[in-house]
Amino acid sequence: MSLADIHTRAQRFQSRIRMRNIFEYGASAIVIGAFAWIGYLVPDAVVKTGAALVILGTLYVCWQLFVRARAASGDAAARGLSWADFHRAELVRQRDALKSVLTWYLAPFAPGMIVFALGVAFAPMAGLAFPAALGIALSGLGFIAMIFFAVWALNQWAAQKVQTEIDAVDRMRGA
Amino acid sequence: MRDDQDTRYREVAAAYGGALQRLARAVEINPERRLDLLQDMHVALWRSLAAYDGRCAMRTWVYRVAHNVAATHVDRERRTPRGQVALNDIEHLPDVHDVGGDFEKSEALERLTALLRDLKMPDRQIMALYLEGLDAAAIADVTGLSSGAVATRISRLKTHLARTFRETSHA
Repeated sequence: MSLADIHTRAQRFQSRIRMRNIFEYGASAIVIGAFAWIGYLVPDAVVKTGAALVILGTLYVCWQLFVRARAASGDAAARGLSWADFHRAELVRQRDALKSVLTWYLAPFAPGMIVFALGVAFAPMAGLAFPAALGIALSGLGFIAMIFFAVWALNQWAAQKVQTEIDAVDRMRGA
Repeated sequence: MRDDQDTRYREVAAAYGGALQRLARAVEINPERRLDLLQDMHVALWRSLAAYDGRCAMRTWVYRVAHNVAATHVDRERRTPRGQVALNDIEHLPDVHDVGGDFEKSEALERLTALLRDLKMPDRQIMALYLEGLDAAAIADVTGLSSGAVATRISRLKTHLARTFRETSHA
């Protein structure tokens, strides 16, 4: 492998990271676009507020993804750490991201989703009687809560598995 | 700055290129992905040399970088299971003209490499480094485990490999 190939491949490595980030931001852009469009079309103030909060939540998650992607840039292998330090740091990063999924991934969406669901159910243009609107609002919120709980529980389970691997590395280091 | 990095890389690649190739072979069976892994190792090595500050011997640094790239590769491959071995692998089967001693030697090497690939991390790394001729203390520097732990693992791994080697020979 010539030096020119090394330089080219090193540049390609950076482009690959950029492309991965662009793909993640692209998915967020779709969510933002969809809620911006709904917020623009629906005259109800509560729905508009809900859409705006979802957009803010998405932007926050985008920023978190950016910070976390930078930490996992794949360049860690080039830092000359021993396998145990390198592997442990990588596992700790994964565990922390999984464990704190509630605060950095789910919670930012919660206010927007709640306000949006309430806004849609109680919007005057829907023309629903209060009990029917309440039923729709509660089932919508229940569904959101269920999805959030499932995502949180799966992530906690995965974090526990990663912790087992961290413990194994610590045992090996201490042996 | 980049010239320094390039010069260092040339020296390091000349000294350890063979070891990196053998490591890639011990990690990846598919020739295409193996080549990719080897190139990743070289790129990581080149990038790493910009930050090399002499905190450890160059040999330890090179093995650390290469083995961490290999570990990342193994982790990624574990999460994306592949199908059968590619048709390209056929070229790596012993040649019909490769008979007698050469055949036995290359076959033994192939089997040993295959056994290495079956080991989990960090055992695979420890054995690969041991086969490169590093002692327990040097392997401990690369892996971050204690010398004692490395020596114990080497002893166990040698027994395990010898037994498996014999079993596959009888089979």
